[in-house]
Amino acid sequence: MAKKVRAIVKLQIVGGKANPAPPVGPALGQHGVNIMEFCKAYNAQTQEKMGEVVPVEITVFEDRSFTFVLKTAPAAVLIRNIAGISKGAANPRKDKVGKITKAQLREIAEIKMPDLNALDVEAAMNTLAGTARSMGVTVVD
Amino acid sequence: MAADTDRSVRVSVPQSLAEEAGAILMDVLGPFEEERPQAAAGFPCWPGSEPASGTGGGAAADDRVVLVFYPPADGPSTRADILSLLPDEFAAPGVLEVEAGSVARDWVEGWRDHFRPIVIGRVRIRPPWEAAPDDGGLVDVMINPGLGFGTGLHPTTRGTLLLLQEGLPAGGPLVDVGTGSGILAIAAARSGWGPVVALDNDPVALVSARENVAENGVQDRVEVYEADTDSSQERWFDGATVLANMTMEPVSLLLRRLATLAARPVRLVVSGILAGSQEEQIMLIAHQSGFTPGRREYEGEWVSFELLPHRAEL
Repeated sequence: MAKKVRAIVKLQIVGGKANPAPPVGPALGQHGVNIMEFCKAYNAQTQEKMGEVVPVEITVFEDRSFTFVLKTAPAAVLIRNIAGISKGAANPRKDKVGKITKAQLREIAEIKMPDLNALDVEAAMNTLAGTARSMGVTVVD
Repeated sequence: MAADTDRSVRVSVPQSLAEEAGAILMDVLGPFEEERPQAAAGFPCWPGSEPASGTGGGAAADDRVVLVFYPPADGPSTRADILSLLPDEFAAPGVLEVEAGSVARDWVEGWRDHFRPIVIGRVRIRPPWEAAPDDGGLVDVMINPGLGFGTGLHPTTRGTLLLLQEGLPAGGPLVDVGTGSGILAIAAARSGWGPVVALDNDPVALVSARENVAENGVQDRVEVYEADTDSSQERWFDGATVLANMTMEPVSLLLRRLATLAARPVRLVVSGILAGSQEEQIMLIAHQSGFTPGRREYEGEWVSFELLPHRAEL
């Protein structure tokens, strides 16, 4: 329920591991909010996704209170994981070109549906196929 | 680099490439903040409300996203460093912009300075780290400022609480719709109303409301439920004082719902409405829903007001 909003802060952080260090500290600290309270609540909600990227959108209200919603992991991260492009590769696009199957693409589309402006899974798959192509990942049958 | 600052690297890319850049750079530079243009983020722009402010430097241009990283001392920070991590398409002119800087590390405790005890009518709101002074009969409410709207600093919280304390004597059932931190429900319970039903549809706010209710020792008087206007129970409203400090849309929905119920509240105090055009619209909806406006409190751009059932229906 959006109301009396000062700012919306979007963070790409890791489940179960939020702490007042950057980026959480500076992003929330500039709005004068209770950083530890956010970390406690975020970590509690992401316990089961410990170590995975769990983006979060924080709504900071004008009275320095806040709420937040968890988002699904970025499509690029999901595609890369399934295609087996190793994490930390210096240049995944140049060095490694991966493949994913249509079934795997559907799996990713189903995970991403809540955050995509797609009418159905088929439409979401088309969007994600574009993301995969731009990453140098081929979709195979 | 001073010891009390952190290095920052602001990476600006077109929106279409932001997700890919973020996924790749995160492996090397760690977690980051994403500054999107306001329109793309669905930022609610109410008339007169403050625009969103970004981290550090200037706002993102309309079609660009700024990824703000905080690399270690020996981590990549120049445009060339960043480009070497990304696919070739980022090398095209105008695609990638990188700005290195630093941010002060004074945010860990500084936020507490914003929260001091405040007195609203006969109620004093204080954060947990401030002791309750002996001040001659003020109602003491302790709110941990954080999750869920309602720290006591907002004009709509003040307006609602002031109107609640005026007019009719304290007591009887009370419903707080959109309770947030639970601040109004707790203040009401400690002022003599009860039983109190506190509702919110935000699970994050419910955690905070329940904690604050317990910390204030009013769990025997305040029940916190996950519910919105549509899923709220009719019996809660019968003969109750109803508080609704939300925004125009949910307040309108509540009024229209109440119009369909046989149960009648004795009084409503609504807030989160902007003075002027929203105020006029709510007055019209209130009238259509069987309520007559009573006293009003204006502060800044906001108005809080009391609504009483039409006299014919009393």
